[in-house]
Amino acid sequence: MKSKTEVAVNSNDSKRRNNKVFTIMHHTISVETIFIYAIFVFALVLLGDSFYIKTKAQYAQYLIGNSWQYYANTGEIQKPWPWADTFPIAELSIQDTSHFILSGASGRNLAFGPAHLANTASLGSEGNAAIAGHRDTHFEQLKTSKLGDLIYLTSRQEDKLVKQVFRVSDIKIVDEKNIDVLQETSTSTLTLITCYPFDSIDPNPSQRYIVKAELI
Amino acid sequence: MAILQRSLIVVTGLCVFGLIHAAAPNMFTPAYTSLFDNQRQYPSSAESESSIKNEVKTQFSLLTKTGTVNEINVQETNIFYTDPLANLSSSGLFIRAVDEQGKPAFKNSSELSTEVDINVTGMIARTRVSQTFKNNSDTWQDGVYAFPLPENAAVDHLLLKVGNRIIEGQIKQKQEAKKIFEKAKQEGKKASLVVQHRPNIFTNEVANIGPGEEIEVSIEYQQTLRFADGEYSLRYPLDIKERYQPQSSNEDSVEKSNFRRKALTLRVNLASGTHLNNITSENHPIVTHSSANQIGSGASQYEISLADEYVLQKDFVLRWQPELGSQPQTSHFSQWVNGEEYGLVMIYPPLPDENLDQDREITFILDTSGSMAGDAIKQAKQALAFAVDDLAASDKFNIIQFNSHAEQLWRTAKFADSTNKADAFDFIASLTANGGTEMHSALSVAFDSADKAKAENEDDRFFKQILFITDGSVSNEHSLMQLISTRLGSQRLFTIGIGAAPNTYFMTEAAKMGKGSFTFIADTSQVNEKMQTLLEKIKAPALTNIQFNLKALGPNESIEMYPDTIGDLYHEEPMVLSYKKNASATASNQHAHENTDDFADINAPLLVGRYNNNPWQFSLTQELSGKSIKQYQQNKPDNSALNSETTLGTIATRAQGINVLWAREKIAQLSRDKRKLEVQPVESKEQIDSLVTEITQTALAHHIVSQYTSLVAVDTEQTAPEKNIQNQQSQEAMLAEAELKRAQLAIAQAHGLSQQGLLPQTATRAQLNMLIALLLLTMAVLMLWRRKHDEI
Repeated sequence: MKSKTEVAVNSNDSKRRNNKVFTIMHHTISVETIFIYAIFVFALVLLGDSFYIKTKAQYAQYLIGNSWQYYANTGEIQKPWPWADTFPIAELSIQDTSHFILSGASGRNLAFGPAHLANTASLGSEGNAAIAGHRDTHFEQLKTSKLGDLIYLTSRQEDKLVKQVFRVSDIKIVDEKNIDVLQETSTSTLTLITCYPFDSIDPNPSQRYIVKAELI
Repeated sequence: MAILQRSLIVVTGLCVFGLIHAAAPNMFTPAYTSLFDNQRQYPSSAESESSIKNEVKTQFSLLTKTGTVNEINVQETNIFYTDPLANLSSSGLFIRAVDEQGKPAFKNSSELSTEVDINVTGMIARTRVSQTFKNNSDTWQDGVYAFPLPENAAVDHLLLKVGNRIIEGQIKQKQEAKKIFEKAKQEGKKASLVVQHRPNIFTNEVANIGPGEEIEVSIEYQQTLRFADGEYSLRYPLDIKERYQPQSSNEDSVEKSNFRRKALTLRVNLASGTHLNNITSENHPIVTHSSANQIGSGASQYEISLADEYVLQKDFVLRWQPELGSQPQTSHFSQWVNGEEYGLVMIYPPLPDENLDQDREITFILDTSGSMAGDAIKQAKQALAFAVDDLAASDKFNIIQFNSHAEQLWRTAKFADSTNKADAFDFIASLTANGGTEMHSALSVAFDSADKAKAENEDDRFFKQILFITDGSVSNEHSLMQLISTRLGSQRLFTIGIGAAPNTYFMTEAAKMGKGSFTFIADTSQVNEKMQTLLEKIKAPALTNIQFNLKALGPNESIEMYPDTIGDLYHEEPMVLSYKKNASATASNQHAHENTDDFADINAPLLVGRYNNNPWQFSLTQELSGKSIKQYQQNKPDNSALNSETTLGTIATRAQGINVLWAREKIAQLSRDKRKLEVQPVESKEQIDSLVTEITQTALAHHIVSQYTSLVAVDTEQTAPEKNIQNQQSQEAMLAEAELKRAQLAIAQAHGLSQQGLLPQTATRAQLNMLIALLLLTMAVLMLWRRKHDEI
């Protein structure tokens, strides 16, 4: 531990060093001040970014919701925004919260909402249909899902809207390499996938939380 | 300065407010509370940057700790599903037991004998396993028979003998199977639905085994062997190194397992249809007999058996190498089942020859739509650059990138010299992912430029290939497939799937339609390896434009062949075609090629194609000269009427499983057709239903498990003591129901519906960013505060 006097000497040293100043437009600014402001700006950028991620996830759902309403009523695909690369194909309702499911689980789509994995059975038809969602935005609520919970899925089948009820039959945690969970089934199954653990800050965790629900 | 500082504090306040606002819906959940609590510890302890770094580390470990605690809780609530048979590496009968903690466990029962019969026809291997076990205890027992299946294999026959009970597996329609199962259960009989838990482990419940009783289990499965590095390998699992051992059981059974031997009878009947260079066994000495009953045929048939009766408990691995020549080699097998002829044609590529390298014109199409953003576009660009770099200077190439619209690098293809390559690299580096997926226009551009080149009568010595790199997230699959089928011409389309969850259905189908192949690249580390394999393969197709010659068919005959689109033959793998000959003119469907010619030419070649720019053909009459062998199954009574045809001098063997292979291929094709109908905007229920019916009927006719059929085994007798029954019955019913729910289909797995790669990434960096931002803000405020303190 440094004694108080040493700290004082050090701070005097640093003060002397800090006398290096820049003159910009008649203002003098010390190196340390620039450093502090740089940190500030960087912190603001990071905050802004995380704020943006959360806002995007929230707000995009409204646009996607409109697009879904249109598709549900008319059967015509309307992109949620003109430059979008996807469109909503179903509505998923868990514990009174509605999510609009996008087609194709690419990284970009997942930032806007839960998305259906294109290489699994189509939603509403027979087979194992998988939906992935971000653990810190839309699919955070999977944390509170219990065995026996009901999940409602509204999708368009042959010119009409079909609402199906699924019951949660299995909850497990698997490695990201464990693609067994996507395996085809003979019954109608929903497989909801999100990252695990829920409260971790690691942006690339290797575990996945799997909620399986069977059609009833 | 003071004003600036004050405004900074206001901004900080706003930021914190914004942060809370952003996280508002989750603010009061315990997880977030704890996260914020932990963060509040920082300012008090942080003195310098390094100490903050340490703090970050502790913070991370704290968080991991909370993660672990959650996991433990999850485990306690039994959410984890662990399969006790997960590490199974050899077959056996496992008796149900309970371990010290009261959890279900398994004990090995003693094995008396094992008999294995393997029949190889070309690349089909049918295995029949008969095993006998004994219940050595003096109580009634329940057990599970488990068998680790090789890749792409499915059990289709099952026979159980427990004492004097006989339980036989039957293929039934799924609902019917379930009804039979329920009925048997009500009547107090034992029934089991055979389902494959995991794609690679076959299990079957065996209930009510009396004290001292013997159990005989027979199963049959069929697998498609893989041809790699010029040889076939066949594996039968005998390994016991990793066999599951319950913790409670006595440890001595585990020791020295490597040196244990067991009694085993194993026979392989090998009819590969070609000359063989070498037959070797990896772990066990074998005795090989060459069958003598050949009539001038060079292609041989072999009987292989084990030299010792007691063998080492290591996997039995048999390898053989077909002798390849300078020409493509073809072998043909046929089999009569229920009065219908099924055939198998295999074409082996010639040995690689540098002179065969053709000049090619390659069009690369790169998907730069929004769905490719992130890692996918990086992988795609890496793959593309790798492919361009690999081109020879005599090859021509062009690049098309597309998102909301398509863009070409050059108007026409250019030679792959260093200047053009450098231009291409610059172009690739400039690409970013954004916008829609107008795949239709990109493919049109590629086909247009090919048509234009044709119209301008440019020399067509170039073999035209399209390499299509995409994640396949499209909504108009149907119109794309139509575009490919109508405009492909002499070009070949290869699809390369990128990203965590690409649309493998679409890309596999597109490649099949485009007479190419589908390559899947799961992550960046695989790019070079997979691209290398693909590029090496497509450099020189050995045999192109292969077609079935309808003139080879007799009057009123038609052929139903799978795959229904024949691609090219490459050096890496043999081509396998299976067909069914329909004798009556009425039997036809969308996959049948009707013979319109009334006068069949018996000498007409069965297959025609182009080899090294010359015509190539294969006809069945070549059999006499020894190029191939025709085989008839004689051990079934219903074939006797047809033996008159064997006067051609064909060899009578036990060709098996050709119909099963054909039926599996047909079901795979029908499933793809069904899926194609399902993704169309307007679904046609009737068409889908008729496909389902056809799949079911095919599966029933050929005794195979499919998406709509199950293997159900009903025990006809009831021998267990009364009180035992109820207990076991409810237990078994629960197990079987659970299994039914988990029914996972190996057939679907084996035919391109299988999944590869990783599950999608489902976390954002928002939390991490917030944490770092808060840290930095705190640090900045501290530094400001310290300076102010110093100034005073």
